[in-house]
Amino acid sequence: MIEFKNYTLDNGLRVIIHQDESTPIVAVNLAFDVGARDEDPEMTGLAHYFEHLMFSGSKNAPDYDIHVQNAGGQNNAFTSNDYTNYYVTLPKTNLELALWLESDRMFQLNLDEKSLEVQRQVVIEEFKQRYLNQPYGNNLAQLRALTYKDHAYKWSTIGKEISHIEKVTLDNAMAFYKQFYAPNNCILSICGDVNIEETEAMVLKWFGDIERSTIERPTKVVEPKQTSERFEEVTEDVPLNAFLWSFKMGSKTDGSFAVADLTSDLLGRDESSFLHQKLAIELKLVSNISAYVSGDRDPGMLIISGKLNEDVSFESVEKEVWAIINQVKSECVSAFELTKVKNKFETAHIYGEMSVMNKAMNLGYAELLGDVNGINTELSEYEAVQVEDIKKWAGQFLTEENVCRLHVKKESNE
Amino acid sequence: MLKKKVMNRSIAPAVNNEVQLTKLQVEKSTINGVEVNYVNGGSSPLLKLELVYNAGSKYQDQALVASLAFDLLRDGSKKLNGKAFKEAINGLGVYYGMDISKDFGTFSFYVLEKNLDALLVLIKDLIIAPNLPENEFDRLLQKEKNNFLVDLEKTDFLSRQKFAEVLFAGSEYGRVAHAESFDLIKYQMSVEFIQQHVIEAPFDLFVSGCISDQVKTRLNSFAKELPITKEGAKKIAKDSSPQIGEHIIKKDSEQCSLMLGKKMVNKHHKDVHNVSITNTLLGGYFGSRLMQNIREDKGWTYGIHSTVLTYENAANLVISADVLKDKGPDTLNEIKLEIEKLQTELIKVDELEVMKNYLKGKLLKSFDGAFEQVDRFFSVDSFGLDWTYYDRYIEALENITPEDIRATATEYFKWDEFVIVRVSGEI
Repeated sequence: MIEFKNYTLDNGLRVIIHQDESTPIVAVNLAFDVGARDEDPEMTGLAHYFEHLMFSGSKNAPDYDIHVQNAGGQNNAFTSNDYTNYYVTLPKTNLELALWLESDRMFQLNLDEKSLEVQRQVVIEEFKQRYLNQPYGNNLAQLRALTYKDHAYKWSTIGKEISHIEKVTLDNAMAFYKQFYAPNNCILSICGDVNIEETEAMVLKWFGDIERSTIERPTKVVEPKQTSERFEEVTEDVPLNAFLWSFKMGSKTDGSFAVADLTSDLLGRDESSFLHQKLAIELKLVSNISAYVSGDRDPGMLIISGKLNEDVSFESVEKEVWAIINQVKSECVSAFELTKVKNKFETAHIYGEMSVMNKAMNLGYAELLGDVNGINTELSEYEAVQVEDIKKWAGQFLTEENVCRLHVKKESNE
Repeated sequence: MLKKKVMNRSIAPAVNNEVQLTKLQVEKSTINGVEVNYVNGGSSPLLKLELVYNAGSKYQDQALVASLAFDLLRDGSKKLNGKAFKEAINGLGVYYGMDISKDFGTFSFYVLEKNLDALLVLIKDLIIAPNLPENEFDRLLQKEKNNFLVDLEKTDFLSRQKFAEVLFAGSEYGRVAHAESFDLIKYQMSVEFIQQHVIEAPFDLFVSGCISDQVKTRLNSFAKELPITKEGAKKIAKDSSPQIGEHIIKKDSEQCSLMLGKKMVNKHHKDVHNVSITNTLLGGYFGSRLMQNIREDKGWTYGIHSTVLTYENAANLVISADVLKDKGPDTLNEIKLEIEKLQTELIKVDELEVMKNYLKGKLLKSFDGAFEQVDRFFSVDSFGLDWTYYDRYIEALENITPEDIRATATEYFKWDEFVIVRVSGEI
């Protein structure tokens, strides 16, 4: 149970404060409600590119990083399809410095051509390092594009193509900043050995006078229901054939997420999972195989992927994957199996509550999803899942009409 | 409508840079040849257990033996194995790893206190009589071979492999897998490795988290009941003769991978802390000279990092980056210039202060909680050192001067002692 105080400033900034007396470190997390899903389809990758630009410094703190370092802090950020998250941890005595820094870059960011150009190049190198210069690095992006026809989840946070990043202008970046980097689009969470009243006063002092923005998001696109299987094959310079499947599923908040997540765990979380036991160990068809859910605010994906052993056909692998799925759909898994994945979830959940940084991040994310209290109900939601729920969920979502299959075929040497 | 107040933001809140490091008491004892270490702190019901054996890759006679041996241990014991073992251990909600480094083979477990007893039964059977089936070995070998084929496509992997070979030439530390290693390794070698280094061999046990007396009693009797008949014997890896200079591998790719470095002093050396601090300045944090120059000023890379790595019988500096594919030689030149700058110019007091403050905060965070502290403790205990190592580090941090940094850079970062690996499509 994590206790916290939450409230909203007049300008719309949502604030969550959690006291943890056991640590000398304080964590400050800012979750901005903007991600790749809010991008113009012709300028994808902007949300992530902009995350880099947020470190360009602000009016009163021209060098963000130096201030953090000088306060003994560490900071980083990430962008997802759904949101953009910034966090800093530092010795608890320096909390106010972090609030000053974060408020200043929300108040007035320094953006200029130099940082725009340098970060453009850095982001393009990140695109290459993480996606293009890695075998299989781009396959998940290909699976997205196959799975979503209309919804903005069809592109990855890094962007659809490098050319989109190449054409971002300073005006584009400024407009993006003005709209999305405002208090009414942000959740500030603070965890550590802090005095709640003093912290509230500090938050008001530094964030209270920042003005709201008017946010106009692109009209929300609802992905049409998939009615038949989709298939694509790509040929790449890779050493082994690989397959990636997606099944469309619900959102993180539609009430069935725990069932979906536990189903993916049963199928392919670890080496005791159904798919790994059968396909990797027993039949030796694949060298690795896994299943997981994407966990998104809009309807997401359950993904199954694996690499084929040499001289094994796609057909024989996929036949066995279906056999496992059909088994989960036709008969209930054992109570032991379900308890196993619940226990693993419990361990991970408790581990996640051990650092103030995780707690600050999780509190912000729970609020972003709609209710900060979700952080304390999550475990019981997982505990409540029954074997019948798994069977029913699998029957509804793990169907042939709902699958998108991607084959990654290695180039033949001839 | 909100009225905008005019608030003076130009004055930054004051920063306090005093660091009070709270080091947990480590309770150390030897039970039946097992070195037991308790790092007790916090209130979470989660415990971390680590069994550390003298069974790292330096103990193997050829590549892959140790890593496959430890992989094979994942199959469980003679009593409970294969699917049944994996179901049992995962059924307890345990997260576990069986990993090797250059020096050690380690079993690690994250377990809720309520499941500790059941886990200890599994561990005991596993280390007394592991199953080690040959067909599972064959499967794992195939899997490793597949992973290796994938890795060979990665320029950063190629640079890392080559770097280890040329830096640690002549030493066990420089032995890496090649395609032919997969034909040379035999099942029996990995089995013998386990028989020699794990079964009935002594180990160090590190336990961290909220350790109640009950937990201690349980763990003490676990250690006491094990049949341990072997003597703990540490192997000393041979000293290496680095192949100084540039080694180039041609590989068509989107980026050029660089890895360069040299031998460095180890944790026992009096200058180790000054070396570490100087390295941080060069490339050990976001504000470092290399990161600011190559990423933030030139935009040639997503990241460039410099690290000092220490092993039981060696230590080295390593600088690595994936850069624009035609910027490999230019980046190397910039690295050389940055090192020369450290050797000739005195660092400005402001820059030094910022870095010191950053390192103090980082140190504080690295001692936040029992799981963090056990890692810090292990990294000195395994060198026969104790907590006072960190006191000396803080002292060095407080006292280091611009002149010390220039002297350290001059003595320990000599460019003509570097081995350089460049993997690139363009030569």
